[in-house]
Amino acid sequence: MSLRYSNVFEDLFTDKSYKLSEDPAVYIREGSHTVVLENNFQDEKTGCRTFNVNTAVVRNEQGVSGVIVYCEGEGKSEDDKVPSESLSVIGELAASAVHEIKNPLFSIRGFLQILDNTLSESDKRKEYVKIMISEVDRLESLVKDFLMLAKIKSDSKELVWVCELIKEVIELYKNSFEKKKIQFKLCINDESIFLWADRDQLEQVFINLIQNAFEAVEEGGSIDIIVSKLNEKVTVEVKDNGRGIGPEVKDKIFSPFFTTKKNGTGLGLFISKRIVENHGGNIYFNSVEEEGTTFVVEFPMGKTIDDRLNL
Amino acid sequence: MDRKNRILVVDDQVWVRRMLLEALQFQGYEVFGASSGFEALKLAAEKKPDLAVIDMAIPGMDGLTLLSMLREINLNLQGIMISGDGEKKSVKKALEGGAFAYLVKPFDISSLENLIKKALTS
Repeated sequence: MSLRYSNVFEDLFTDKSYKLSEDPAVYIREGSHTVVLENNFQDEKTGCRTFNVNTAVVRNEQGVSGVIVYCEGEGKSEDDKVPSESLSVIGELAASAVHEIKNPLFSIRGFLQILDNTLSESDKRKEYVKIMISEVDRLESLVKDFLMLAKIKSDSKELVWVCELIKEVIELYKNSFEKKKIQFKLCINDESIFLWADRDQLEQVFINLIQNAFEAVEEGGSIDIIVSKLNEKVTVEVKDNGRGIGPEVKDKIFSPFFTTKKNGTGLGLFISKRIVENHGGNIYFNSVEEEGTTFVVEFPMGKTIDDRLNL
Repeated sequence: MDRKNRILVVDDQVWVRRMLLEALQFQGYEVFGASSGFEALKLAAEKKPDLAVIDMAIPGMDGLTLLSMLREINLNLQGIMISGDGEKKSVKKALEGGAFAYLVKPFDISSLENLIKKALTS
């Protein structure tokens, strides 16, 4: 095994978390690290370039099979980081605002439920109360989506195992799929696909696409999810045999507040597109009315240093 | 006759606290409300609640610290954490910290009622 990293990576290999090789003894620490190169890459202003380096130990049934050292794109200078920091301040501010909005929404909803329990079925006011509860729920979804939008630019990327994440999302839908008798297939051509991404945001994209497919199909319909790695691209396809997307709405589906659902916020696909693009990827769809729709998200594979080291 | 199950609700938001107290009282529980960790500890020593519904972000201390301190008063006390923060990390931390359940605000009151029933019989 060859390790040709310069001494700037010393920090990664001196921690005694995992022994990479016996002689010479090399150790690796799992996690996210910031590596500043002082000499190799000269930045005009600071003289430094900063890299985000992620390391992960790959385990299989026999134990450890390899190590991934993943470097986020090209090195960023310290100056490049300023806008993302101010954006994360906006994200934080939005998060606090959302928290402040959630509490009054919660007490309104709770008191309405108490009121609902005290009214008889024949009472007209019971209907008003139910409308108010569903409107509060709509406000809550909007607030949640706004929070997701505010967080898109925040920089909390990590190494994400795509297949594992998709399986977790599917688990959330297991009961709903069974209830609607949906024939579901998951095809994966490479279990070890990983991305340098914000895990929660990626999860949101998959939830949005699977939820849309779930709502588009009739009882007994089919949903296929295909995960593949081809030509340095990670592709996830979500395919349904539902009613399809009509030509009159095809241009609008990624627009904010556009929805064809009764209780939709119209932000799901808008948010998904923003998230995917913020990760350097693409999202598009093919749809034939009455036959079905396939949504495709593509992400570029990041650069890795010795993609996987064989021990 | 057995005494009613006692529930302590800790939330610094006055109307959230009042709403939870009224909803749980409606279900037949004996309820007490506190707006801070300190107030909750004082009440718990006096009233010996069987279960506490605790907001994760209360003044003075975090919800999980309060739960562990309440358990020093009553080892069998069950804790249900509530929070506006639905991040997985926070949920995991609360469950690992010994909470029976974690509910993200705003939630359906009947979910809380069902969880309380489960917690009190487990």
